[in-house]
Amino acid sequence: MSRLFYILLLAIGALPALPSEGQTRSIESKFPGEQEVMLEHSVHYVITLKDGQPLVKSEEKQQLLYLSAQANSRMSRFGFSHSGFHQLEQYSAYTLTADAKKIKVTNFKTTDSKSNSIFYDDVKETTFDFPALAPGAIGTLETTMLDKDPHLLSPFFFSWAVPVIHSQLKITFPKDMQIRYLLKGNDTARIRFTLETRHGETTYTFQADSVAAGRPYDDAPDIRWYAAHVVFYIEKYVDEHGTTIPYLSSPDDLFHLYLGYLKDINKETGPELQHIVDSLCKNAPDPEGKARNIYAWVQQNIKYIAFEQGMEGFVPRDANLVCTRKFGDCKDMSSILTLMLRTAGIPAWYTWIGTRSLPYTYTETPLPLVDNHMISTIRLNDRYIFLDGTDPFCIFGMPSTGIQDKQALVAMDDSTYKILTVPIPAKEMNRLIDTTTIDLTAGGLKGHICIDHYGYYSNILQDLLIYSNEKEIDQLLKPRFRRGSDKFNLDSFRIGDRGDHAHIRLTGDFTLQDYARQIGSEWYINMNLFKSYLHEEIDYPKRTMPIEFPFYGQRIYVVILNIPAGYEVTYLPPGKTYHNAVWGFTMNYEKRGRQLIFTQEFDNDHLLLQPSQFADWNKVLENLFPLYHSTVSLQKNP
Amino acid sequence: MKNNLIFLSALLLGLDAIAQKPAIIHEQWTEKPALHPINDPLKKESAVILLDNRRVEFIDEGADKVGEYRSFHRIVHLNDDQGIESFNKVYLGYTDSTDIIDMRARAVLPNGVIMEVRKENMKDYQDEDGSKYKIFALEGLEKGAEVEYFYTIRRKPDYFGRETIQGKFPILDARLQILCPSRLIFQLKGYNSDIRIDTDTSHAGTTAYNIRLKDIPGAEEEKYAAYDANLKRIEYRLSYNKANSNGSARINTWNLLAQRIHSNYEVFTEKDLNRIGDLIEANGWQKLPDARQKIIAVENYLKKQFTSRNDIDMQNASNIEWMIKNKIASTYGIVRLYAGIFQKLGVGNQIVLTCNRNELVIDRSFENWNNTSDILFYFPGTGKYLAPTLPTFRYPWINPYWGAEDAFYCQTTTIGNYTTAIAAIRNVPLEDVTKSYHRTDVSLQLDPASDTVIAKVRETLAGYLSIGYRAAYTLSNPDDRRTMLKEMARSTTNSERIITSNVENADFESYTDDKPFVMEATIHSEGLLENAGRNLLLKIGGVIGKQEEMYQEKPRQFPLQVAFPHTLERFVDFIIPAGYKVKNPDDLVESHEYPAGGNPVLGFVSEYKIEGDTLRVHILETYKQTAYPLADYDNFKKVINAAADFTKVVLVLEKK
Repeated sequence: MSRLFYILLLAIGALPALPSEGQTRSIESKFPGEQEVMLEHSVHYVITLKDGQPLVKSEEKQQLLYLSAQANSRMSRFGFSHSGFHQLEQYSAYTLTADAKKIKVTNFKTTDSKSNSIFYDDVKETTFDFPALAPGAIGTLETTMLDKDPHLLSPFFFSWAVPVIHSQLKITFPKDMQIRYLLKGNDTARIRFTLETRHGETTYTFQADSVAAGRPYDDAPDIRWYAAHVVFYIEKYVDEHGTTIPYLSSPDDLFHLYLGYLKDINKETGPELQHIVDSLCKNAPDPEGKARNIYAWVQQNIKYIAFEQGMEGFVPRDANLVCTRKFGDCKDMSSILTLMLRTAGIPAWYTWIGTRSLPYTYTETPLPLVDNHMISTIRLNDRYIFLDGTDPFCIFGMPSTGIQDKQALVAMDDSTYKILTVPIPAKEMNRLIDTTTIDLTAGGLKGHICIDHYGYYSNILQDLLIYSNEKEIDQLLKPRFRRGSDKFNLDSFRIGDRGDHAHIRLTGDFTLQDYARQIGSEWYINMNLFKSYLHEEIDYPKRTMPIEFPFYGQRIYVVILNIPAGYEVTYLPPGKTYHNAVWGFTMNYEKRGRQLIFTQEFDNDHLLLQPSQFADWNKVLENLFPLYHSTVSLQKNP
Repeated sequence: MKNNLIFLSALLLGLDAIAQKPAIIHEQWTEKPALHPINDPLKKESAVILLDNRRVEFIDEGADKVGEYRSFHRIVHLNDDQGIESFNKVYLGYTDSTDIIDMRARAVLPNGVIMEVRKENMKDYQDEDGSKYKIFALEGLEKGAEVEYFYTIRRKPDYFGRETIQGKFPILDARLQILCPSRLIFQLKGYNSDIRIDTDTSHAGTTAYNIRLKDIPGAEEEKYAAYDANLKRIEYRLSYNKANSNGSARINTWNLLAQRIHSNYEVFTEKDLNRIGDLIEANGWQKLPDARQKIIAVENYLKKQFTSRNDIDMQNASNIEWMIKNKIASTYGIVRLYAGIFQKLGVGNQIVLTCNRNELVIDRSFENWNNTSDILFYFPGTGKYLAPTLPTFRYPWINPYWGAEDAFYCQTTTIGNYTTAIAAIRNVPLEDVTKSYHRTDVSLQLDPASDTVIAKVRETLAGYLSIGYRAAYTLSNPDDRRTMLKEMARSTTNSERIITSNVENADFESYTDDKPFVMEATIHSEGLLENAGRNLLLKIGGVIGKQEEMYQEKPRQFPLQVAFPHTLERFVDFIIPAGYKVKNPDDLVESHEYPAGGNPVLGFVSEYKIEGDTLRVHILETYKQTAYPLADYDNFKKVINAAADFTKVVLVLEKK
């Protein structure tokens, strides 16, 4: 088949055939209640060699079938994004109405894309409305893109926010090129793969049908952890001279690509930075003290603001500029940390890393898509320490929560690198110990609270405290003190010493009316001032995506009731300990003199909880909930 | 704010005089700035705005041309990290037709170092709605630093203005100056603030209106408050042009606006009317028996079949023929289409321009055209309203924040062959309190075998209260619908174990027959019962769901308001299990009612009776008004908290 003929075929294929009424009904019955479905989503990458370099173009087609009567008023808006790296070449869109009239889209509008974390970049969004939508109409969007940097090819996902009837990825490349692919996510068995070789070109095709809508739960990790997708990349190719060019065949290739980003920065330490480093190291007794001071200075003084236009998204800025500006993105913070530490005589290394939103590793897929973050690494007392400048209260020696368990690519020097795995701090490091002492009075329940936050609990609280002023801090802290009911009244509070990132204590006094009940000669009080896990049952077996937790940790809640004079405990509920392979709890009531002490203990050993563990998770809750409904009663002595 | 409803460029006519070339005032800053000392009480603030200086300058620029230049100058002292984060990134908006004359920004650091933002670091940014910004970051900031920036932009002259001065952070010195050729007479009015206008005519040919406000406190968000509407602001308008032949006649009046609205929205070509006629014919609307049914049919058709949003603004989206073919319309286009259809059908109507009462007012005596931000149709024949730009609302239900306040009515009158329009400023009444209710019917029965309660719950939402639920349910996917039902179950019974469920009247068409949106379910709940040895505790208060509370509030700044008049009524039946008695039923009784003009307008009343083995509880919570003055704050709070208190009522079931 000639190339021209092939393109013609594609064009003809692009005209959708209206599904028959029977087909539409069968879609509706397969996906009841859905307002729209993706009839077809297909992308075809064509990779060629031009001037000895890979050239990547892609054609994408999306076809939506509208089922809802509200289609036009609510679902007409559609769009796509593009950027300097993912350059838009051609685009067109049209509606095929239910009575087979074709109406072209003319109202395309291109604007800058907004991101919460990035202040400025060159990502654009083109949006439009499909005209004349009604049940049975089909909206078609076709785009052609040029991938300016073939190191940055995007993975292909089979699922969308709406059901997909047919999903297809094709990759066509020359015979002298090697393309590697990996199927990632759950349910990859349904993906059909075929390989075709024709006229010196190879084509990989991946297809899936009737893919259910992938609507994430709030506590799910990034969709890349579970949605079925194909990661593919150019491993190597033979150029016009017959030389084999390694492209992304191993982490070596990636490292050499990254080294190029560092070549122009941090040639010297300027006087301003030198002065700061000197003053920070003056009274530090040893390398650890120096490193602590330098890290703390960057955490406190360099604010996170990201300008990421084009290559600015990859190349760190010179540390001296970052020092003057007092702001930067993660790469800039890696740059200033690394240079300051080196200036202080501590070997420090630029480090690339993916945050936990990315499931990839350098060893499996040595690609830029593995990472989205930069930090600085040092080695102290035979231990690697990962310093993330973007978290102002990250504890020295502990990784920031977002990079636990992730592979780090550490540039040891201009020719060597190490791939290290960031450790997960043990649950004993991250503890929340919350103690409430209460008295039953005529004016309601009165009490004192002491909450000790250790490890990440402290880190996260201090990150929050920094952004609220004296006027607002009570609004921020009240929910952390609140217990019993919304009638909780915080009478006073105190924030303990904020000098230590690894520990912070909150104390407070409170009144809580209408919680403990005095009826006749009896008091009733439910000592479960916290029911943290109420409604935390996992939607099982429906849910198939994992649950993400921020860190391993332990939480202990102690409630101490001072038994009022003249009263005796007439009902003390039973305690219970229950643990299974996934997690567990201990709840215990104890009468000690004139005090009743109730303790709840929970722990977590997971960053991700997988569907196979959901039944066990819920089993713990089944055992826990009855204990929430137990009330202590006290009777006045006759 | 860009006003989409009125075409202001037409205003220029007749205002321009002979060419003069007065240069504009260029904003300056001190070359060697010193940091400002901050008083102790202000050190608690994250940031203090030391200077907020605004100037709007109109100048003659050649024949028939007036230029407008707006300058804004701020100096901000930063006390803490939140202050730094609030001011280290700056977005300065400008519109398509404007030119940036000046734009400078700098940081003054505690050590005296000055860091000015370089021009190349000011980036262009275009928002989704097409608004353009210069965005930049201030360099070198630390605690104790000051940020200073100013800009002057040229913009299309707008003879109405609104400057909201107050905001989150305190302002020590706020100034507004309107400068114009002296033939133009502006009027200024302060809202939520007494202002003194100093009019300076000492410079020949120019008038300067100066206002200065000092020590404006930062305003905090409050529950049940119209935050924006209560901020201190200054509005201005051009009222006279002495160069006109009749220079003492007030210009830019509401009547003039009425004529403009009429000619923009209600005048059609023969061709347009024919197209509209075809559309009417095709749908058979002319055959419907009365105005009400015609209104309903037209609205249902346009809201289902057409897409119309504020950000759809291309030219052809207001062309009648194009709109009918593509079923995409700009806000202007869709209103014209409604107007054309009603005209052709002979359904008498008036266009009403209103605003959101959370933000603005339409002031009869101070005609600020820019405050007419939203649009309605009023039908004198039925006395009801239609919101053409809100796809999930149906006649006669409108956004309640667009009513219960004065609005502008465009009333057309025909004299012979000549049709024109006059204005009326009148209230837009909301639908009666009896039509918006949330009724909860719950019956609770103990299942003694399993320590659970079987709850039958029926939630009925009518009128304004049904709007959010109906839209959320009808427009969502199956997963979200399931979540909605689960949340309803959880809210009343503290459990998600739904045995059966049912939803009624979720479609938008149900509005017009006043059919309420209904969700009902039978739920197994362990969460309502507690075990206290030989006694059982029934957390009966929980069945009314989580309530807003005002238990621990700061001193109140602003008066109170609710979105619309409504009642919340609950009927709870509890079948007392054999062998038990309720020890404390009187805990169910609460009564807080507050009258205005003899009628209770605000209240929470709960009562009970025992009939055989059934305990019947009745709760009625009433909000008959939308606005409550500050003097009613304590009463309002008592009612809100009475409902929140009720959620904590626990009945003790004692074994007989």
